[in-house]
Amino acid sequence: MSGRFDEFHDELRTVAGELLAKDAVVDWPLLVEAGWTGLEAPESVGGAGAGFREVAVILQEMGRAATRSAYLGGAVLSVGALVSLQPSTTRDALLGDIATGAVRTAVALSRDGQEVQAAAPFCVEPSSTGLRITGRSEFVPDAEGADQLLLLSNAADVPVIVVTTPQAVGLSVTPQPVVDETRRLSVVVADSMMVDESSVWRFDGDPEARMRRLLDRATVAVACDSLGLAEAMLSATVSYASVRHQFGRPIGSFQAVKHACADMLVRISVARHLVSAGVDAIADDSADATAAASMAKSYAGAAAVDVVGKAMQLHGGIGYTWEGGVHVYLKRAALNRSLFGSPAAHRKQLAQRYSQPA
Amino acid sequence: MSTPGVDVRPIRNAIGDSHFCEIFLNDVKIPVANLVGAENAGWQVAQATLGAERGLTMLELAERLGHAGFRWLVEECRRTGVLQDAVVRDELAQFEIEITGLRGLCRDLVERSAAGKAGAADASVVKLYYSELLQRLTDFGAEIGGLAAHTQLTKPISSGWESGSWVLDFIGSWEWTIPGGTSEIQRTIIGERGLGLPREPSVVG
Repeated sequence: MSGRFDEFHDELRTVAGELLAKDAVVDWPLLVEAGWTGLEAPESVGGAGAGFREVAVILQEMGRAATRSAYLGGAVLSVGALVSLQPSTTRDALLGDIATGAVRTAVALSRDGQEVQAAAPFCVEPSSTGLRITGRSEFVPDAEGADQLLLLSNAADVPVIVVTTPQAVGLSVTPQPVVDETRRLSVVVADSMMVDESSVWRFDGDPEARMRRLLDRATVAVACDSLGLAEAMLSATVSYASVRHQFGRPIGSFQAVKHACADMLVRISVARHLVSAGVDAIADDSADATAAASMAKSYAGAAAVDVVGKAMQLHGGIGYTWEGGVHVYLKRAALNRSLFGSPAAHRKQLAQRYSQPA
Repeated sequence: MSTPGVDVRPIRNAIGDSHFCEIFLNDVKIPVANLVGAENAGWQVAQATLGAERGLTMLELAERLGHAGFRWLVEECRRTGVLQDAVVRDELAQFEIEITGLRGLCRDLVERSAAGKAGAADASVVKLYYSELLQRLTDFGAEIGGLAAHTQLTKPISSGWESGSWVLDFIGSWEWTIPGGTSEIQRTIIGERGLGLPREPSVVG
């Protein structure tokens, strides 16, 4: 990450870390108060005018604290989607409302929540009574309780965003409870929902490329979270292994434990570089952002499960208890691994670069 | 090295080369002017030398692995007709990801060393990761190369650690996991100096 922002990022990280350590649940007003919902929105609409590198700092800290919040869906994906659309007064007003917290939105951008190929889950068709929207998007982050929904849709094979309220006739938002209790996911279904032309917002630039970047952004965002989870669990394990005694010595002095911790640090160090490269690629809108995102997600997604799994093992009995809390991290790490593409799916996508399939 | 009393005996290693030697010094007289650093401060000089080796050398090795090494591996898969195999493609992608991570680690180590900001175990993280990645990658190359790889009895002259003579490369990869502090020693250094875990109690004899 760019050197001249290091100091600012360290400060942001410290402030975020302190705030998030207070409570595992951070509700929308608190996100607004912290200035995080509008972090990436332009200053002209009331945002902070920061970039994805700053957003990544918050995401990583939320992973570290296993925070339950609507930040991913309500801010990271929503603002990311809106700023990639053609500027308009309605778009700017919505961005401004997210920054002030007046409106909370969510983005339905994937059909099954885990495909790595970008494909709009909804379809816009003209009819005699207006535009008809049909489609289904599963595992949509933070759609439950959102004031507005942004549906990634195909309009005559061109990706667009359809903006709607969840109360619209023909639209349903149904929570999908998952083992990880720190995430709120929903299935969004549009069954012949009627909208008018003003609800269809177009991408700025190449629509296919913008849609691709939106999925890349989601992919890297989850990788940031996984990195934070892994870092927190290594830190917790080192602390525990330093004070927990067995056979008259701290268990961390045994090589079996020490070397396992060393392996955790190595995996995290590698993940940190790949995630950092992914964040830079999204922030700079690099041509190879999709590959960088896949590398970050594939490695960090798998590494976090591995590291948190080791953390549970090295904590011993207390690690497996509900009260011990390691399970919260393991469940979130496992969910993250699947959300927006498994490590294997991302590797398969990367491997397409070695040769065209026979 | 030609000073009287210096006896250098090459040690033949597992792949038949002699990169390492035993050096015996029998009453060797060296001019005081040849002293490097202060007297009795040789350990610091040795550490600085090793530190440089683990920094810039690792950077070069990682770049070689990322460019020639990985390309040869893909080429080997193409040549042996397994490049379309899903398992092979998955392994290749995993190696590409890990090499990309390694290169980032190495660049960071060099930058932080130059700025005097390197952590106590940063070089160990890089050495451990590179050596074990090299071992896994050459192992995979040997497996893909099949019996034909076993008929390559020598490595190309002045080739690196991934020469494309995969069986020899694989056997030779232990030259990275053992010398310069074994992987086990590196893990202990990372645990103690990097993470601050308690030291092994010393055995009182």
